[in-house]
Amino acid sequence: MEERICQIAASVLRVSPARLDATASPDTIETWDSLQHLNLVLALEEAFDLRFMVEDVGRMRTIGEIVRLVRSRLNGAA
Amino acid sequence: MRTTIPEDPDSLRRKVEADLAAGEHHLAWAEIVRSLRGEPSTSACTLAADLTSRLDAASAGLTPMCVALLGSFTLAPLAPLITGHAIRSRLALSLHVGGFNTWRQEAMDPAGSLRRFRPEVVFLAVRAEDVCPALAYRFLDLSEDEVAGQVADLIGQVEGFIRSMREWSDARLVIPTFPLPAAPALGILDHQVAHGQTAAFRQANAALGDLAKRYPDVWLLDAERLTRAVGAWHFRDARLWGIAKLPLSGAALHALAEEYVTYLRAFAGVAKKVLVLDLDNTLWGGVVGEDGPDGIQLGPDYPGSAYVEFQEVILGLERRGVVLAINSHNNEADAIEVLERHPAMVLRRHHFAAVRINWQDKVRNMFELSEELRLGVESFVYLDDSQVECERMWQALPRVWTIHLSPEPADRADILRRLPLFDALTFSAEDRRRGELYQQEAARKHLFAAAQSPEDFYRSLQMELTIQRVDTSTLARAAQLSQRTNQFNMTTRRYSEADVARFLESAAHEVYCLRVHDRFGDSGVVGLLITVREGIRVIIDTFLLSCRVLGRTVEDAALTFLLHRAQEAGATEVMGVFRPTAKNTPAADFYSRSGFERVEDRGGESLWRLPATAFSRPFPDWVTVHLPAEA
Repeated sequence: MEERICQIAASVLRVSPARLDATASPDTIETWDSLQHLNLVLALEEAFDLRFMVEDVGRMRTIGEIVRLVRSRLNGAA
Repeated sequence: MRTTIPEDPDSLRRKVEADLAAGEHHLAWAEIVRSLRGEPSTSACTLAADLTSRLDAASAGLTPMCVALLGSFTLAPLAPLITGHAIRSRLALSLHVGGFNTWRQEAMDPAGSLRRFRPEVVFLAVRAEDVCPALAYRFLDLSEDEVAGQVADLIGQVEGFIRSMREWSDARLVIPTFPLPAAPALGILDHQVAHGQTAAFRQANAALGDLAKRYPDVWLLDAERLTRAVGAWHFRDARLWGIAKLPLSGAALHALAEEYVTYLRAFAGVAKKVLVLDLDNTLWGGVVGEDGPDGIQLGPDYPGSAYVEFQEVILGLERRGVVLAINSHNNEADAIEVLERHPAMVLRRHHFAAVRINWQDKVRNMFELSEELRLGVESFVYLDDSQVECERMWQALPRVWTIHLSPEPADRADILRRLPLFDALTFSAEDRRRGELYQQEAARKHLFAAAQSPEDFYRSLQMELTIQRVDTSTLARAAQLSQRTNQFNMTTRRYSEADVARFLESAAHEVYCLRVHDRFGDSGVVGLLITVREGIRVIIDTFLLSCRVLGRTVEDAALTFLLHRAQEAGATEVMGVFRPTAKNTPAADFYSRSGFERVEDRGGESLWRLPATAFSRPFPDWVTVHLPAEA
């Protein structure tokens, strides 16, 4: 699942998956602006058949946080 | 559920970069398109859009288009989806994405980036909630008169946009209808009363339809139907509106992007033309070679009923002008037995314009079908239930749009109904008759095989060529020919009905259509000639013939007619123009073998000249030519 998230993020952010470790964030990836953040949300929701809450989107500050969030949503946590 | 990218982005990038480094832009395009097969995900489209920007359109044989997207909400997430879906149809888009709710300003700004971008197509994406909020949110506060006023204001805004654009641009404009409210102001009463909210939106949409007809090259996109197809509550997404003022859901974004690309295919003349089908477990359940004609599943009970319904949808496409073909591994006799005699078959042998039922490689079959139909493989859609066959086709012929059918037969009829690949913006009598026309062609081929010489063949056809000035009854077909004809087309200038209408009004232009009839039947209107008079010379702006009438000297007779016209008009020279494209090699030597002299090369076009001394050549004696009545 982590690998899939990296591949999706790599496609949206137009970088190699290798650059997307758990600490990767808009501060370290130049292409990760607010528009690409939105595209990332859309791509992840589609790929994992999820709906994030608006407040989740603000919490997705690093790849690591995204992985944790997706995992918890898939496990049905609120 | 949309397919995720089948391989990791690094690997795809490496393959594409390697192809580009070797100068193989066609191969790079094929890699990108293979990553988009099935129902491509947002991430697959985004990656594809990024890689597409590295392709050289000309080297890859793609059609470049400048497309602008303007609207009243956040539009940027649409961009990679439009580009990604477009590249599958060989369209290389340059996209201008408008600013937030700046559609009016951008149309009017003389110094703005939209004007400098010079779009060929502009899509307007506006919502009633943004441009007419009272109608959407405060309907019950409005009196009947105020409702009428709001609708008029809404139409006025859209008309203002069209007029601003038309001051400086000939771009095709695509404006949306408005979705009918899914939770109307008066609930279950609303649609039953004359002055409900639903009625107001219906009136607005009707007025938009009238508006589009009043201006040249303005098209309506049925956002109401699109919303209904996706489902009103699945189309919108209040969370995304909260996050980024994006009112559309992910599903709506894909649906809208694919609808835009359907319009772009139609504008570029690259809608698909041929539906190629497998037989076993595609047109019927089971394998006829093993189960026998009586053992296949086809009839009133499931799964046979699912296959019957699937055939009904295919027949509907045939009526629309789609050419049907078969590519199947079978003993031909077994398959023909079912096609001709099985009582539950909806499709019969004569519905198929060409068949390859054999044990040959299906890729080779596809090439043979392409040659027999005289249509490029890029106009083919192929349906097969076998994953293995589909993989083979994706690898070997990425230009064929191959669809792996869902394993559930009952799902397939709707999947086929929803395919927009054949959609075009014209529909003529020729479309209705296309199947019959292919049957006539088969008869001609038999005659050709029996003839002693080409002249013998031409004579035995008993050809009649009718040349008429284009008028309102042939206007649609004339425009359609200019949009769809790729092979025998000297200049490949694509004209809308409005464009052709303008030529009819112009004193300097002459527009003729050609109709061919022979002993096997009427081929319909199959050629278009447009000339422009400039002083002492006549310039041939458009000279095209449907490939179905090539190889019979019809083009020579047509040119002779134009030369006679030029002579009557007192011109001293006729100029031919030729613009080479990836598809019009059959036309490349026409002017030279007709005695024209090449005089100039200018902007990708070559200019050819024939002096008046050569105008009075005779028509070939095996064609009876009916000339236009004098106006």
